[in-house]
Amino acid sequence: MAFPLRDESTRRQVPWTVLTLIAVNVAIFLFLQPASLQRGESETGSLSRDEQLEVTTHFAEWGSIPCEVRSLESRADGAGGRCTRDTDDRPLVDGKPVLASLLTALFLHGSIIHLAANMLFLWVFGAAVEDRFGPGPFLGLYLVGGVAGTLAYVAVNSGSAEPVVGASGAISAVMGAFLLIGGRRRILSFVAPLPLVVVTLPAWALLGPYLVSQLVTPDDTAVAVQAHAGGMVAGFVIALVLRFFIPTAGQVRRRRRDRTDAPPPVDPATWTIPDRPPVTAEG
Amino acid sequence: MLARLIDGALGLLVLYLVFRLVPGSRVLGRLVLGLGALTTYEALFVLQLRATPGKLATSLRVAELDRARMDPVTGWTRAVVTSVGTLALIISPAALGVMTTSGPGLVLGAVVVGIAGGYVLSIITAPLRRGVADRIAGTIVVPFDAPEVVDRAAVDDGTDAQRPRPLTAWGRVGTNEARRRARAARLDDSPVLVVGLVAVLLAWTVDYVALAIGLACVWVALLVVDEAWRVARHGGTAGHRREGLAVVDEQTGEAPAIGPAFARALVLAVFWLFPPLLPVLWIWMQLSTTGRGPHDLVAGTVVVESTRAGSRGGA
Repeated sequence: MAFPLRDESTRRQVPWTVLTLIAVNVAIFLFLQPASLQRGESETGSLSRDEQLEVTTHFAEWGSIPCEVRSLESRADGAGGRCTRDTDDRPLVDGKPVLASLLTALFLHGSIIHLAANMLFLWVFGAAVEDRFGPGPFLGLYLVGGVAGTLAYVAVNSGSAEPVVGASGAISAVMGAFLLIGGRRRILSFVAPLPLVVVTLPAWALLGPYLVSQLVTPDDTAVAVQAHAGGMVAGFVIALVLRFFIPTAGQVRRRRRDRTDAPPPVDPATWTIPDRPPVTAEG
Repeated sequence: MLARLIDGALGLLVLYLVFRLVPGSRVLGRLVLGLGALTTYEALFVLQLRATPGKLATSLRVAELDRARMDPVTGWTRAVVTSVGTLALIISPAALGVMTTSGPGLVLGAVVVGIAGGYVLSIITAPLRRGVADRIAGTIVVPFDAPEVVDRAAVDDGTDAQRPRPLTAWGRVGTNEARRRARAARLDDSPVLVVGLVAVLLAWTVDYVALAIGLACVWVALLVVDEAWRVARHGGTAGHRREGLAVVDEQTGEAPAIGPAFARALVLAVFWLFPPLLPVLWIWMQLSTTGRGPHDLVAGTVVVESTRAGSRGGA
């Protein structure tokens, strides 16, 4: 296992979009999702019956359910026939906006560890991607990549009634984009259980095994590996498209920063800036 | 001290208000919102008035090194670190209580107490009282009548004066911080080792445990050989070069011979293979006046600053 800790690239602009996304995800987990998820008991399975019901209802209401996405209507509104797997103890939600759930699911997390891991990856890889493409395209990449990841999961598990939640698909998209723009950049990483403990590695050495692990992990785990793999491929493709069709994305911001950083050249003979006319007594 | 007491009391007031706002069932929500409130409070005061109320009351201000006006990123960075330390300090009594409840509670409590202790120790023991927040953000707390722009070089000189580093016959001893950074950059010019590491990670991923363990053993052997060869031939690894360090024989000032270099790499490998031993290595190097751990003692080497030494130790 290798966990990224920090991108060793040179200092960039403050990644406001990444920071905002982290703040939104954390705030939703802490203040809008069921409080029982914060205590870590959902991981140990020691929730009370009422708490368990609250959590499953919450995820059924706001998470993406593959069989609902497939039929574009909620289970309560008639999609039940398409749901052939994982239907036990799943509450029905009337009038659920199924399409919107593709987006809302991106901002839900199942546990504090789920949230912490996702936010760590978003912070390490997201800042560079935002710096390259700018805030708007980055946000588009995040959301579209996340939805694409969820759709990849839906394609493989179309009969499932189990909700899929988490920003993992969107963050995998960001990682896919990072692979394109900075595959050779150095990432300070924690490598376990091998020696050295903390070492800088090229990004491809982290992201390559990650993608392979998502492709080869068996389907019976609680992790939506198809969403990760789909999101990563989608992110790579979106970044490729952005680079090809909007090559100037993010450059305006970088130029502005460079202008701010570099003092204007002054001609020592006249004490004027060369690209402006000298100030004369008459003028 | 008085400044910190005043700021601590105001911080408690901020936390009290936050805790009144958030229901008790959302413990983590309370802590995170409290952290955000403390950070905002600290950052806004420092950026707008150049000091928190406690510092203003005692005629102190926060200055960014080499700058007359503090950069917002610097102010917020300092505020985040300060707030984490302050919050850990405030909740330490509760964390001590949690430590007795369960296994996870023990870990959580130990982390909080560790952060609080580290934060306090970093302030008490640091030269010029530049705690971890000041060092990360590149700031310093000075009296109001200090020069408008505080010179980084002067601060560094003051730091060096309070914590002198020994001078060997071959140059100044490399700092532990530089050596840690050098260790992190160890694989920067070793693509074969990076590819080997990827192979091990992939083997773990696909659940071939025996293959993964076998590959890991081969990888460690390669690492030892590579380390020994680079130290003997170049007087250090890529990380050493990047940090301006050189591993030299304490007798000759040249790069060590292949035998001692191999012994040095072998002893290091023992610590790398058993990460719980790493704190022992760290403490050993801290206590040694010349920063020499068991690996340096075995090989008879010392790690010096090659740029100041004027000799690359055989490199």
